[in-house]
Amino acid sequence: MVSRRDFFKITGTVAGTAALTAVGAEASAPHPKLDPDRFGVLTDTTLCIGCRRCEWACAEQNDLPHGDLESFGDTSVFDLMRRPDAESYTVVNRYSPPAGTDQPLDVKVQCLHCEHPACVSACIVGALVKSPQGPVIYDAWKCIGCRYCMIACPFQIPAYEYADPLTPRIMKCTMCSERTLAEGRPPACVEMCPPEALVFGRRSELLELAHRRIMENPDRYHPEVIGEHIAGGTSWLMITDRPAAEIDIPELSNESPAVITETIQHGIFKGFTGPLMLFGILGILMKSSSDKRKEKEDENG
Amino acid sequence: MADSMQHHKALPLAGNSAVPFFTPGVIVIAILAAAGVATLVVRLFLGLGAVTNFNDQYPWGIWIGIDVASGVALAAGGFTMAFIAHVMNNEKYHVLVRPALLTAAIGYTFVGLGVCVDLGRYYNIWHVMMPSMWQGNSALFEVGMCVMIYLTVLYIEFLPIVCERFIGRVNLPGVLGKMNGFLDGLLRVLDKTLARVMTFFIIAGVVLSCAHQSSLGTLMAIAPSKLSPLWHTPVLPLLFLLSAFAVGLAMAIFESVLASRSFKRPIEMHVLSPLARMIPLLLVVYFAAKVIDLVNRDAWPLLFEANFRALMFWIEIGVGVIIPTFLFLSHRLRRNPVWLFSSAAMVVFGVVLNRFNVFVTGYTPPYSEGQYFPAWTEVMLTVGMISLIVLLYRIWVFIFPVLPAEEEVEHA
Amino acid sequence: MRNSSIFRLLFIGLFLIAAPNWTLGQIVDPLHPKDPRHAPAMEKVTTCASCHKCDHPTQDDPCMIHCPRHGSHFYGQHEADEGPEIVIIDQLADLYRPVVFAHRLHADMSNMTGGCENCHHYSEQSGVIPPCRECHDAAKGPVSLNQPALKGAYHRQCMNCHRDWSHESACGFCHEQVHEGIGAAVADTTDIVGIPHPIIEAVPTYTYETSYEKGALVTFHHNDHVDMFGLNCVDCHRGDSCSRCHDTGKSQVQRLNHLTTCCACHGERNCAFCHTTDPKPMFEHTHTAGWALDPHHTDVACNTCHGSPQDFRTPSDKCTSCHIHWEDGAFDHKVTGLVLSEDHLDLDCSDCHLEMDFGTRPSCEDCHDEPMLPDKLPGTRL
Repeated sequence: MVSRRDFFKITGTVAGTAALTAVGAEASAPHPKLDPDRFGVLTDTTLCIGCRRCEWACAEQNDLPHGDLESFGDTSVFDLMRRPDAESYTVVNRYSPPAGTDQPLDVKVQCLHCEHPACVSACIVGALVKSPQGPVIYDAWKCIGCRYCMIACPFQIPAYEYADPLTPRIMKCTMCSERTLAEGRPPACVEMCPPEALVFGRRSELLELAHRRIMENPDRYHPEVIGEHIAGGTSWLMITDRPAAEIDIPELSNESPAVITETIQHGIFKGFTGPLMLFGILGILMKSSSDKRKEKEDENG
Repeated sequence: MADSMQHHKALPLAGNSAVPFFTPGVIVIAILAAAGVATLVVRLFLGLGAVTNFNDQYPWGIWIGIDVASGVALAAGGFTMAFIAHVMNNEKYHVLVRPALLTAAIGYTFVGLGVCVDLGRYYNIWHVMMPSMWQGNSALFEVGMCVMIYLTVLYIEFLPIVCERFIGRVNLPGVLGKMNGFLDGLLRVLDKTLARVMTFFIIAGVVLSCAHQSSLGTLMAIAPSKLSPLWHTPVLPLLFLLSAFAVGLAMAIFESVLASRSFKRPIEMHVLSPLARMIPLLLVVYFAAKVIDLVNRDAWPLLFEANFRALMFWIEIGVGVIIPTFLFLSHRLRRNPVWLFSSAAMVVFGVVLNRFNVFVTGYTPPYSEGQYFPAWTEVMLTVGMISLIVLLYRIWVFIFPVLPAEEEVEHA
Repeated sequence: MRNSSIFRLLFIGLFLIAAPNWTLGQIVDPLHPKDPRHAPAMEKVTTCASCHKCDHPTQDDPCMIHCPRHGSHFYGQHEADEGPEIVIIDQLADLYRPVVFAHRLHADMSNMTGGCENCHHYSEQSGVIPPCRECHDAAKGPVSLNQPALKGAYHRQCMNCHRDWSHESACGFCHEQVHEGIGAAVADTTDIVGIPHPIIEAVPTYTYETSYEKGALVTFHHNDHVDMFGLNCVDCHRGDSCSRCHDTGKSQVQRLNHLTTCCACHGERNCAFCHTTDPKPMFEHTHTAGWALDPHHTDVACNTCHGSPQDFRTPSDKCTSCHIHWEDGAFDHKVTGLVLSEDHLDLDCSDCHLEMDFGTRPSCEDCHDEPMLPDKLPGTRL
């Protein structure tokens, strides 16, 4: 049986290894400090004309399969509500005009680049990363294709290449990080947008701009900046003429869903205290029960 | 260690039993397993899209809900039996440890396989082990890590059985025969070393199991807006752990009865009945936790809505928890093999349904175009995998000394 | 303004919050533009910085932001045909060929939609209108978050109306895509040069049936307002959009709101003024006042006697109520161009102008049996 010395030796080794792993695990998963000057985009849906040129520019920029420029003039796609998928990072949907007017409301949909993204928190290998400058970036090389990010995303944004047997990727808007981060240029959709319904800039300034627009035109806007608080805030902001629920923004708390799991995770595994304590308790239990049995055996025989 | 702890003699079935390896049932299972493997081949060459109904709205289906989540839960027999028999040094349950260990080892192997089938880039699975890619915030990372380590621990725990089988019996044919002596020596050294460190692995196995059984619940806690409030709660990991305790014991009973029937051996009622006595307590604790949580979150009115989800919840709790609690409480029914088996099967069913509900039924994406329903190929692969597990279990007990020697069973 | 009271409440609230360090009182002080067209703009202004560049603007140096977009800052009167015939918009030609903008056509149309300032929201004090690109940068993407770049400015300007009446946002309506073969050269412009907006023929008289019990009919004489009262289209049709005429998909014809349109001039003084039981005849001063304007008062503007339409007053029909110095025989017939002879000087006005009808030329035969005076005049014409 296990001697007392053996037991402590073993427990000690476990504690040591666990502590080392704990340090490693924590160092590998730091919470990215967000740059106060981080980028963002503001969508003003009241300015959108539904020309779908953003869809074209996006497909062009990101090498997604697409028809020529003219094919995006087809407005019959508005008959259905579309969602971004593995072949398009962004789509524009059309909603009925506000009461008393007959100009429909067009709403561009894409990844909102959460401030505290659930997808990033969920990703098992860190293939999704929240850049301190704003964009949520995907690294296909790291990805194992578990699709947990798709479960985690409260906005149901990440799409997946189900048809690809070998190298399927998670597909979602990158905020054109290769342009925005490297060159400081606006994302392709923003640059393309004819009426400048999309504005690229620092999130803090865009937030200010959004509030100013609402304040100066209270008739035109619903007094809420979508993305200021929802799900812990998003880098991509939106202002529109009606409550968020009416343009199919899910009703979410103002806390990132990642907070729930991270609280649980770190509550249990912080410094491996939980598992180590359990290990200790089990060890003591085992030792005492084995001692008890030995005593019994000695008595018996 | 294994020797010292294994006071009961176990023997391989091959050569020690009148039961043939192939029976009509086994042949059916073998066919199902082959169909599953065929589906797997199609999945490998044509991708997930070809064989599943997964889509951007429902990225996970029964492969995660049943193969992985339920698989892990049902393999809980390994750690619960290890706890009762080894940690608590309860000698009479030792006969159940080896079969439970084997179930766990095979079960977890298939959980790993099931995960890989579901992974789009399965060849990158090693990334999880790379410290440079560790992601401590991810519940899935915790699950993945724990399952990998636990699987290793399970294999190590199983090694003494391999040693026992081959020590003094290594007999490689032909040229390789020259190595027989060396290999035998190696096995003896291994056996001695293992005996020394086995305590560590047994405790580690229990700790790792508790960790990932609960983290499996944490997985879905990240989707508060998508998972129905009937199931979504921040204490989901606790509920998963509590239900794993109960189903671990139920599974040990379930499979012991099943194996005995299959191998035409007497059912080990003398251990199973006392084991069954513990289950009601575990079920009541689980039930209480679930009720307190539902009331605490004010989610209970959902129970009385007339919809599919509420129905599934009632079945899960009614058939899986409430009824078996009462059945197990009856001294008379516990001693009746049929009732014992049925009650255990109910608990197993309840936990499988719970995992299925959490991962599949309760999942409602905000932009859903219709409820997910598994493709027949998905079901075929799942059934095939389960059949493979049964086959492997049969192969192993035929080759290795897992099941107790029959004289002993009769003697008891 | 429907929402002006809301704005006011908002501003009072803001004022109370911000008063200690940010005196919004400046906004309502008399130094600020007296031009009534600024009023709606002023209500939208939220900070001093919306209009002023510096922290402490003074009357001498108001440091106004060039080209602000808070309402119109448009000075001077322009006629539609003063502007250029066409404008080639080619600063941004990239994917598409330059856009040929039919400026004259749009200027004509803007007569019904708010005039030049409908698009040109800014002109210098001298009346000079700067081109869009002077303020709106042609660089890609906005240079300042406060104003759109040139592309955004153009598209917002055009699409606002185009989308409204055509219900589509097809790029091809204005743009021709650059293809192989067709370079980025300017397209043929001959089909739009010299083509004004067709003159909009208005129905001379509209008779509306209303649900008003005491007078179900409202007769509106369009020509009276245009020809007689000299109103410009834009005075009433200020908020009219192109879609009023061009949107064929409209289920029902939008009508100008009589409360904002008619009452803007007539005030809400008397329902019976418009609402009658029988169709109202065309305006005739003889009918309403009892004496004809012709010939002596034809050139007198309505408001000279009646004040502004909002507080319309009806002077007495006595000449002396306006011509106060004619009192007590002080009238000198000479002002009419005819110096009365001594024989006629002492006559009462009504002796010749029967029933004080100064519009009809008196006849000599009423007094004189036979024409006896040379040229049949009671005096000498000047």
